[in-house]
Amino acid sequence: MSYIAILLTYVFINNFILVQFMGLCPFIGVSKNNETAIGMGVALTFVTGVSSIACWVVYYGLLMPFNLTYLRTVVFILVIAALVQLVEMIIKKMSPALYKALGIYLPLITTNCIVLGIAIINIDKGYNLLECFASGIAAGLGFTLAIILMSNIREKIDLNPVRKSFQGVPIAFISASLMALAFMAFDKSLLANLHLV
Amino acid sequence: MNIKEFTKGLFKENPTFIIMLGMCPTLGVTTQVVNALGMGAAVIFVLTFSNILISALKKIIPDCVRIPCYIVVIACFVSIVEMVMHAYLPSVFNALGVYLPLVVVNCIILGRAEAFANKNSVGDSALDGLGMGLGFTMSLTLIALIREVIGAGTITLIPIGSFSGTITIPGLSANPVRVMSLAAGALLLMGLLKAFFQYLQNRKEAR
Amino acid sequence: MKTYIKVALILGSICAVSALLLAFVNQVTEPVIKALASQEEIAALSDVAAGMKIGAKEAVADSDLVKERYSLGNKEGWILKVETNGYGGPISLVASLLNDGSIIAAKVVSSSETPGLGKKSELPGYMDMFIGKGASSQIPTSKDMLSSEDSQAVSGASVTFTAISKALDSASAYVKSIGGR
Repeated sequence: MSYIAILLTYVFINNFILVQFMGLCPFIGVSKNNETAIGMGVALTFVTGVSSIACWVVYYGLLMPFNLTYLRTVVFILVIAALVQLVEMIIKKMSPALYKALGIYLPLITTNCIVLGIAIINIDKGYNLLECFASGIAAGLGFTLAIILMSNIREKIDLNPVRKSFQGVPIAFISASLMALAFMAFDKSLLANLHLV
Repeated sequence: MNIKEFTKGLFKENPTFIIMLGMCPTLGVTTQVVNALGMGAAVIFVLTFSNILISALKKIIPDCVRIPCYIVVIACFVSIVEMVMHAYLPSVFNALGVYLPLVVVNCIILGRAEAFANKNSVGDSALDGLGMGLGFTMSLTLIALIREVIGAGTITLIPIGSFSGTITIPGLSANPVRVMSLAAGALLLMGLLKAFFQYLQNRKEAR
Repeated sequence: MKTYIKVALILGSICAVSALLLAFVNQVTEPVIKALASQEEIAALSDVAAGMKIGAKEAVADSDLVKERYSLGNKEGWILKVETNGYGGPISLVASLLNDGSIIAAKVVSSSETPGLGKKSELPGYMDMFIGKGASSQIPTSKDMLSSEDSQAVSGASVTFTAISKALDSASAYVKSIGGR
C-alpha cells in the first residue's frame, strides 16, 4: 500500500475514534476546550509515531528471531510505557516550554488504546518500517482531527441550553455520533477512486 | 470479606454507565451479543486475577514502579486469555480481533488495581474484580442486544447442539436499521443510555 | 543505590515469572491452535470440492489475489485460496473452478465485514450468483450485471460484493492462464 493510502485510511476511512472507537476516554475527557484538545492531539501523534517504530523494531528484531511472538502484548505495553516515560524526561530537559504545554497529557497516553492498537495493527497487516511510521503518524493525526472538531462543537454546545439529562457526556456522545455519520462518507471506494489500491 | 464490594460494581458504580471507564471495547465489540459475552468473560477473568495478585503483592511492590508492575501483571493475564481463546473459542477470538489485546489498556482494570486492589485485602479485591467485571459484562450485553436487534434483526448466541446460535427476529431482520450496527449508531446509543442514567440519577437526587 | 537494585530485582522477577507462565500456556495452546487452523482449512476445502479428490497444497506467487492452489479431482479443475480486501478488512475465500475458468463453488472463510451487511457474504446462498459463471458467461463484477433479485441481496454492502466478485474474477482468470496444462 502506498504511504498516501495509509494516511488516508487511518485519518479518514478508519478514523481511530469515529470508526474504531479507540481512545474514546481522552476523546470525551479532554475535549472540553480547544487548547487542551490540540495539546493532547500533538502529544499523541508524537508518541504513536515513535512507538510504532519502536514496537516494529522490537517485534522483528527480538521476538520473531527467538520465536517469542506470544509475548507480544506484554512486551509492547512495556515498550510503550518506557517510551512515554523517556519522551517525558527528554522534553522536560530539552524544552521546558513544550513540557509545560504537553507534560500533563503524556502520562495519560500510556493507557490510550490508540498507541497499543496501532502497534498491533501494524504487525497484523505486515507493514514495513516506513509504512509503520506512516500509519502511526496517521493514527495520531486522525485522533487530532477528531478531537479538535469535537472540542469546537463542545465549546458551541456550552453556549446553548441543553436538557439536564443530556448535559455533559451524553450530548458529547450524540455529537460524536453525528460526526461518525459524516465520516461514513469516506470508505474504501475513496482509495479505489483515487487509484491507490 | 464484604459482599457490598461485589454488588456495587453491578449497579451503583457500574463501570460503563456510571464511572465511564473502558469505552473502546464497549462500543467496538458490541455488534453481536456473543462478542459482548466473550469480551465480558475475558475482562472478568483478567480483572479478578489481576486484582487478587496485585493485592497479594501490594507489600512487595515498591511504590515508585507500581504502575509498570501492574501493567506487566495485567498484560500477562490478557495474553493468557488471548491464547486460550484462540485455541478453544476461535470464532469469538476472530470477532474480538484487536480489541482483545487492548484489554491491557482498558482503564477499568488498571483503575481498579490502583484505586482498590492496592489498598484492600485479597478477598475484598477478588469480590471487587468479580463485581466490576460482571457489571461491565451486563452493560456490554445490554448495548450489544439493542444494537444487534435493531441493527441486524438477529440475536447471536453460542451454538449449542441443534441450536444454531442465531435467533432471527421476524420483520426486523428483513429491514434492519443498519446504522445501529455501524459506528454512528453505537455512539448515539451510548449517548442516549448515558442520558437515561443521568435522568434516573437526577430524579433520585430531587426526591 | 541499594534501593535501586531492589526495585529493579522485583520488577525483573515479576517480568520473568510472567514470561515463564506465558511460555507454559503457549506450550499448551499452540498445538491446539495449529490443529484447529488446519482442520478449518480442510473443512473449507471439502465444502467447495463437490465430492472430488483434493490434491496437495501449492503456493502461488504470480498472482495478485490468488495465494494457494490445490488440484481438484482427476485434473478436472483447481481449488484456489484467494485473499482480498473488503469493507472491514481482509476477506479470505476458497473457490473451486473447472479448467475452463467456470466456478463450481465458493465460500468465504474469514472476514471482518459489518454484521447484517457485508457479513451476509458468509451465509450459504450468497455465492449462488457466481456459480457456473466465468467460462462463457462473465462473472458479475458490478451491480448492473446482476438480476434485480441478486442486486437487492447485495445492496448496502457493495464494497464487499465488489471485493468478492473481483477476487473470483481474478481466480477465474488465473485458472484460464494456467489452463490446458
